[in-house]
Amino acid sequence: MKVLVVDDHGYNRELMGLILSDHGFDYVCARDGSQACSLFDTEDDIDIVLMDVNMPVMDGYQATKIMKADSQDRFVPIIFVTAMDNDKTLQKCLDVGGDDFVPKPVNEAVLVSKLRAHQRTVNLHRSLSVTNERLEYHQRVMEREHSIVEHVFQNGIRRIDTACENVNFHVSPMTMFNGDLLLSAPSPSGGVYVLLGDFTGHGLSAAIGCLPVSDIFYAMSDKQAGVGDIASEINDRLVRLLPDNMFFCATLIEMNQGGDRLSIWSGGMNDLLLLDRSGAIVDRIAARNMPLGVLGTEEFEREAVFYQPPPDTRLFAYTDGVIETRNPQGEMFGEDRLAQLLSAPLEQGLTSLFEAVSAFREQGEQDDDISMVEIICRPVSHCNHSRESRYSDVEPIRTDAAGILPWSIDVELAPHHLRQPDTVKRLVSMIADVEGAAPHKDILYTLLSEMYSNALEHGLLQLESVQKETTDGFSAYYQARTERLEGLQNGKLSFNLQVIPGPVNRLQISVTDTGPGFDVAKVQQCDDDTDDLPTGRGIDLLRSLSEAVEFSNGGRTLTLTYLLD
Amino acid sequence: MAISTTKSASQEVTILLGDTFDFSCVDEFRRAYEQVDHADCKRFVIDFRNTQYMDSSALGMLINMEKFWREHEASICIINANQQLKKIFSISRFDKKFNIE
Repeated sequence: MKVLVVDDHGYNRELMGLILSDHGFDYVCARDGSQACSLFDTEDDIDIVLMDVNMPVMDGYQATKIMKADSQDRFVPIIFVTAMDNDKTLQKCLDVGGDDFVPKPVNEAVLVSKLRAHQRTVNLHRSLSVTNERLEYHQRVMEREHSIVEHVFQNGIRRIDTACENVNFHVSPMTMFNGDLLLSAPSPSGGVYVLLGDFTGHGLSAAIGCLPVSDIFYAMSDKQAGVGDIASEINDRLVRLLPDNMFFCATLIEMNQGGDRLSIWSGGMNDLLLLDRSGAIVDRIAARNMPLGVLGTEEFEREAVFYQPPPDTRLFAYTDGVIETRNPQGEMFGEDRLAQLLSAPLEQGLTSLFEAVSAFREQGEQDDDISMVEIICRPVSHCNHSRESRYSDVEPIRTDAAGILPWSIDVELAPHHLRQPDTVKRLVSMIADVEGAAPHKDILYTLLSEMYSNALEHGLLQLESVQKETTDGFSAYYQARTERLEGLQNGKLSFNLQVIPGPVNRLQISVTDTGPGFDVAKVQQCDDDTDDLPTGRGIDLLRSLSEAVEFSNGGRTLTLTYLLD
Repeated sequence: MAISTTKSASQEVTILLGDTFDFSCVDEFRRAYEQVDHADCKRFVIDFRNTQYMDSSALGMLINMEKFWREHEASICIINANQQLKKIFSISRFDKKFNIE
């Protein structure tokens, strides 16, 4: 503890110095205000100042003013030592920034008690400043980290991946980060997927789970996975990822393209409401499962609920924040008020609903994330969804100046290859990576497998299609196929695949078998109505899917060309 | 490939197909629809959500199924077929015989 003693009388300075050192205080002296100010300036470890009032050069008032102005960031109490005890003087001492008085002549006990009292204040002030500095530092760190995470979130989560007229929503997070999650994506078959969920808590810690959830949701909806399977996958990930006290209440909905079939998996959420055209609640779908991130894989139930809504049914889902909003009287918004609002036509749709919830809260602050989504059950429209449209993002290769590279593949399949169950798939995967062919993978599978079956079954194995016309014959045919293939000693299938570049690129596929061949003219004549027969579609299918189909080489070779448009 | 059968709603049975629906499923698929209790099924739903590949024997299997259930007056509905499979169904005029969603 270091004290600055300011007094123009040497005697006073000496006396106070003696007292101070007797009680273990360190001290420095100044004989007027001006000297005191420069000492105060250079010795920044001065804790308390004892200030005389009347001094030559600069008096105590002036010195106090200067010192207080210079020490905004440090707290140094200034105690006036004065013989004058009239109110005016005392008031002036306080007005210029003084903190206390000690009467002259100085009483040792009083002086020391006052110094000790002020020392306590100084210490308190110091520890507060240290804490403040630490807080400010942490706040800066947190702000910087938040802005990084915000960036990651903005780029990492595609919240709504479809502009689908059937899906309306309103999302209102209470902080920058949202513990509610609303995702929507088109399904490959033309329908739409929606996920609405609510992580326990809100803010950053709640929002962190949104990243893996959205990744899984988009990857799996792209493959037309069932809602129960998506839920199961998300559950597995969250169980591994989240601490025990955190979980994810969620509803996953898939609606088909026709808008008349819903499959729903729901865990820990409020009832989904099904509203008819007039807005009356006609049905509720309760959550049958635990929230995601709680149960282990073996306990998890992935069964979805199916529902066939009448046309124009509205499916309404919402998070807790909607009905748990409180008014200043502490009353909750509740499900009844929600049902009432939904039954009346809403001018601005869900935005009006959100405004009604906000109005109910009056001046109160929003204390949870609020999200709601509405799916209108009618044929899905304006989804940017079909496989074709997704592939249209791929640059068409034929517009390149150099054009597509010509290529050709020859594959010879011996009996032991033909006995492998996945030979056709392997052929497809060989050519699917070749430029131009990828978007046609599914159709190429059908073409190749048709040609393969045809050449193998009729060419090499000599099976008769007629046999397939009855149900039992159908099974027997495939039974015979297995047996004959097992016993096949000789013979092979030769595939040739080549790309013929042109204004429109063509893929030519031919397959030749080493069997005895057949009378092409005879087979092509029997073009009767096979609509009701389980057989006779293979060649028709090839004809419809490709540009040209041709038998040659006495029926042993089948060649087709396919447009890679 | 793995075919699973579930009773999804009252008098409705869903058959979920695997990745590939071709001749290798002939027996499995036949068992899947023949073992269902006739009295308790008015509607079949064949779910193609997981199916990427199909050949003409698959069409044959569906025709056989349709014939089998026609006697029992159950409707058959094909759902979640991707665009490519839908194309095959329409080329084969299956949309006349089956309800394809």
